[in-house]
Amino acid sequence: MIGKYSKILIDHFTSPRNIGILDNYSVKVEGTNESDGDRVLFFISVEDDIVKDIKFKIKGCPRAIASCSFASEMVMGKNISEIMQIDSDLIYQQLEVDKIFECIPMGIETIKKGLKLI
Amino acid sequence: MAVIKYTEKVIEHFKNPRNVGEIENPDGKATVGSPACGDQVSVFLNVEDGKISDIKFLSYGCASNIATGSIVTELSKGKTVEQAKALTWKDALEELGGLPPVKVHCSILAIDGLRAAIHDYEEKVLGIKHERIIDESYIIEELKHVIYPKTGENIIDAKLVKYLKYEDKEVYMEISFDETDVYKQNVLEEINEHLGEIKGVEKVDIKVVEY
Amino acid sequence: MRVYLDNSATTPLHPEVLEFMCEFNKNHFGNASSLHYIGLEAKDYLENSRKKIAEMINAEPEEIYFTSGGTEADNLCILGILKSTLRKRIITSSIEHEAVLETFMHLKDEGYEVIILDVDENGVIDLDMLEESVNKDTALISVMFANNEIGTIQPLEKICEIASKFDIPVHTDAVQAMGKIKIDVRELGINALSASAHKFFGPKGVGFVFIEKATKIENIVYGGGHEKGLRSGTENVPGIATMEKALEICIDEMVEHNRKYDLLSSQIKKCLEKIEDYKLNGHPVKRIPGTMSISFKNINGEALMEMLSLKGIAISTASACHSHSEGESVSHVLKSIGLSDEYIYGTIRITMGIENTEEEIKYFTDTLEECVRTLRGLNYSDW
Repeated sequence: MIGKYSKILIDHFTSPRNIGILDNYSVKVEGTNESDGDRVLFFISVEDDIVKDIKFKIKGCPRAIASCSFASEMVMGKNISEIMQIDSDLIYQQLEVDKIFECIPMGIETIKKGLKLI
Repeated sequence: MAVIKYTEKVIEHFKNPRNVGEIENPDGKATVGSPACGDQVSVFLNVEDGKISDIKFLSYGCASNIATGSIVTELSKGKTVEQAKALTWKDALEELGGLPPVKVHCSILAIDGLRAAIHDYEEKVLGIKHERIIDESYIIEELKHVIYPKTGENIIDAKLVKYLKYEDKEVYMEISFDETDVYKQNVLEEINEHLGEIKGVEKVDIKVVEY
Repeated sequence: MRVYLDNSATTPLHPEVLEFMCEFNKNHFGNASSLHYIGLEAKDYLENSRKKIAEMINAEPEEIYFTSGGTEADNLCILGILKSTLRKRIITSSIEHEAVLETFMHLKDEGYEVIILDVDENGVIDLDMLEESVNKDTALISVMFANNEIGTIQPLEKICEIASKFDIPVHTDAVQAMGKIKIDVRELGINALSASAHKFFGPKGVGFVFIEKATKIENIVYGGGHEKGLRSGTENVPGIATMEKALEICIDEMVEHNRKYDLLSSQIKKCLEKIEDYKLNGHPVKRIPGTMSISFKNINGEALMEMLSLKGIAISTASACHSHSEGESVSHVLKSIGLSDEYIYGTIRITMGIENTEEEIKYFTDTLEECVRTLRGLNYSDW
């Protein structure tokens, strides 16, 4: 890792996956990171308890954008119960971010929150 | 017109309900539901040596409402407070041999009444304060009390709720119904009632979507 | 292309200054306190620099003292003046640099009565509040000359007028203003001033204070008694001489640079008109040339800064991801001017310098437009 961000984080920040909206969604869920003013809105399409499609829109810092993109890629095609097991620690690790940054869990926790409605 | 099929046990408990009445100066009491919705139950109880020594109920509602009130008081009498708290509406349903989907919410109401009366006892007699943090999880738990009459499942398990946000004491929801769904109005009213009772919710905004 | 637009944070050395510094360091390394010819030569250079700097701000040489930079200068002025008085009330503004605010907070813990003046939406201090706050127990007023975030210049003359009613010394942190606009300490009537070389194309690690000759002040650093006892420590003669050179060049070329900054600012403003939903912070007229604080609605400033940085453009943002232990994530200055949530997180600061050209600014504005559009595209339009 050179400088502030890891390569993988810069990749997800400059080319975030799954940006957009879904017209027909199983669940729509909003997440925020109050202290930094980050906001994300996920649209998730679920069939037979498996995430078939996911899109999101976001206003956030580079870490927030990267972690939401990373989380969206992670949950695609997975089963709801599998997703509920995913801990944000994994994302901190994969993106090589220090735990003191609180914006990282926003992505996966928001997705998990939305899936509670299913 | 649909004919509602009741089990024999339900009919029995409706015709001869147990434990109907009031207790004077009860250790715990509570009233849940509202006449506007067509259902209300009041539960009164006394506790001795940690066990429910006496329990009575009054109901305003349909046959199922009376039957479930009766079965719940029967199930909880003589049990310890902890055991009574652990009773679920599924236990009540089982005892009754089941209820038509459109009436399942009555069993929830009866259990809510029992739990609320126990809470009242705990606060008044034991001095235990119950703190509630109102957040989206809490709202979802409350919404699980709202039944979709068509299937008898709560609206969350029935995957009707597409979007939920709780911010600044306001709840925004998106719920999906077919244009022709006859239960839509009923469910919307129940949602408003349940959420309206929560201290910390000042406004409820529900949008109906069709997919 | 590399475009540096964060001159408020620090400046590159002016090319002439760099050359001067190399020559000086090569040939004049002496300790100004040494009594042999090498020391005496160093002393000469030291006093010559002192004289020249004094001239540039219309002060006397004995009113100039050298420090290790702006923060130390602020500390010396504030703590030093307080040490020599029994008065207990001190006044400052809510948009000062941490070097002043933190010192005030420390003094609050030490039992001083601290009054923090509000500012209006342009960042100008509330003069009425100041009038009501001064009394005969007031020991010091410290208000920065120009703000580093939003560029607003404070009405120092009026502040000094109000202060004179009770003989209150006025200190100003002029770190951002020195070398950018004309400063005449007599005209203003101030008692103390701080400056730092690396903000006017000089070297890092050296600065100076102006202390009006009748103003009572004591030292806060103990040691060999240098600078007439006010600031002990072997004088950084090469640094000081280079600093003087840098300030000289800045003041010589000031009009030319400011004209250029105004042109480049107009260039940027034209581009902004195409972008929509933005705000310019700070006073529209009474401001440091070349400083722009721009708030974009519903955009994250850190993300914008990062995108620009990846494309070779260096700017500053007023808010950054933080952990609770690090304190506020949003600039206290922006909060003080009452900027709303939708704009506050999307604020960037551009501060120009001598290197910037029209071509660089064109690259900046093109890239800025692109990045803002991209970030707005990531964002939901109907929250």
